[in-house]
Amino acid sequence: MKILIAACFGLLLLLPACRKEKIEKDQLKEFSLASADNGVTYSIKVALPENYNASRQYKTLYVLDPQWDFNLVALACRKQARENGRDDIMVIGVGGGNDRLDDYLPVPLYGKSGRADDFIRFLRETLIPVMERDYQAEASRAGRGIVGHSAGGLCVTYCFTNYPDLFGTYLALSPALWVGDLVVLKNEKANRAANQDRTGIFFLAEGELEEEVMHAPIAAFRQVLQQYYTGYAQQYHNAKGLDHLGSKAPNMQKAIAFYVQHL
Amino acid sequence: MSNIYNPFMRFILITISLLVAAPCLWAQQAAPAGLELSPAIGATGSIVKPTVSAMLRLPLNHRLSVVSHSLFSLLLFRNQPQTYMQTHYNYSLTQKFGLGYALYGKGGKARHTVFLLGGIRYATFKESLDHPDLDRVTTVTSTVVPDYGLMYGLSLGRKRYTFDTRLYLPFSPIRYYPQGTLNNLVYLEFGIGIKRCGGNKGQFRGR
Repeated sequence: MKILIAACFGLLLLLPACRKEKIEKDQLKEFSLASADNGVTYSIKVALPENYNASRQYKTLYVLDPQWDFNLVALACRKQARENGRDDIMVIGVGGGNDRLDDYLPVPLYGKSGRADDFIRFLRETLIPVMERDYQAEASRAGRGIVGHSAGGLCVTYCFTNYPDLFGTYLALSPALWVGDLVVLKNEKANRAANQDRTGIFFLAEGELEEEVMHAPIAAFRQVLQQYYTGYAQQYHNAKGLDHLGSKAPNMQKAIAFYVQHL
Repeated sequence: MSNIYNPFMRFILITISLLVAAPCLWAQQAAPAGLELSPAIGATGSIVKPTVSAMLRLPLNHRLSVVSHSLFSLLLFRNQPQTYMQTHYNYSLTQKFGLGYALYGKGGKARHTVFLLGGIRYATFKESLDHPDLDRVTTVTSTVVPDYGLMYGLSLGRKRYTFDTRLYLPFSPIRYYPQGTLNNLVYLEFGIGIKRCGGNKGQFRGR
C-alpha cells in the first residue's frame, strides 16, 4: 500500500512532463545577436512558417520571455494559421540578454535598472533589420507584432505608448501596469494626442484571480484604449478562475487567435 | 478591509467565531467518539495571506479517515504596497472534503497523513487605482473556483491534545499544472489537534 501511494504521488508530480509539443527542427532557426548599443548578446529563435519560401515577405510576431513562451506562441500561431488559411507568419523569440526586468521595465525596480529603452533600440536598430534582410520579414509597422506576459506585457504597452511606429500589433497579457507608479498609464496620457489616430491590433488580457495590484490599472488601460484608440481592432479577455501564471496559456491562445484573424 | 456591514463579511465573522468556538463545544463531548478537531492558523503562498482553519477527521480504521477542512484567509497587509493603489478588502473561504491515509512513527507519537481533498473556494476582492493625474478606477472580483489537491499532515503527541501541522499542495486547475496552478491555494498551517474524549472506541494510538 505504501509503495502504491508513493507511486501515485510520483506520477502526479511527473504529470507536466507528459505533454510537450515542439516546433520541428527544420522549421526552427537559432542564432545570437549582439546589441550594437551595449554589446549584450541576445539569443534569437525563429519559427519559420510552413512552406517557408525565401522569395516572399512574412509578417513577424516578436515574443518576449521566449524561454517560457516561445513554443506556446509558435504552436498557437501555427494552429491558427492553418485554421485561417495563412502561411505568412513568422514567430521570433528574443531571449538571453540582460535580466528580464532590466530589459522589459522602463523604470528601475527590485534593484534592476529598467532599460527598456535600450532593449527596444536593440529591436529597432539590430534585430528587425536582420529579420528583414535575412528572413524576408515585412518592412512595415503593420507587418510587425509583439507579445509579452507580465513584465513582458508591460514592455508591450510601453512600446505602444512610447514607440508606436515600431509595431502594429500589441498582445499584452497581464501587463504589470502598476510598475513605476503607473508610468505606462501616465505615458499613454502624455502621448495620447500624437498616438490616438494610429491603427492596428490590440489584445489585452488578465486572469480573474490576479490580486492586489493588477486589476485596477488594467481596467484603466482598457478604458483609455476603448475611448481613445478607436482605430485599433481590440479585444479584452478575463480568464475566469485563473491567476497571473494560470491565465497565461489560455490568454495566449486567445491572443494569437485574435491576431491571426485580424491580420 | 472596512466593509464590516457587508452581509457576506458578517457571515465570515460568524464562521470564524464558530471555528474558534468549536473546541469549546468539543469539551462537552457532543461529537462521535474517535472524531478529531484541529483548528489552526497559517498563511497562504503567493500572495501571502494569514489563514484560520479547522479540520475535522473521522477515522474509518487504523489508516483511513474521512476529513472536512474549512479555511478562511484574509489579506491583512499589502504584499506589494503601491502609493496609488488601494485594496478595500480581499478574503476567501474554502471548504474541502476528502480521504486521509495515515502512517505512524515509532511509539505512535507521530502520525503522518496524506489527504486527498476536493471542494470549492469563494474569493472576493475590491481594489482601486487613485492617481491624481489619472481617472479613478475601482474593480470588484467575486468568484467561486474548484479547489483540489494533496495535503500532508503531521500530528505529534498521543494524548488528547496534539501538535498539528499541515501543508496543502493544490492541483487545481489541473489543465495548467504546474505553472498554472493557483499559487494562492498553497498554504502551511500549525494548530492543536483535539481528540474526542469518552472511551477509546475509534481512537487510534498508532503502533
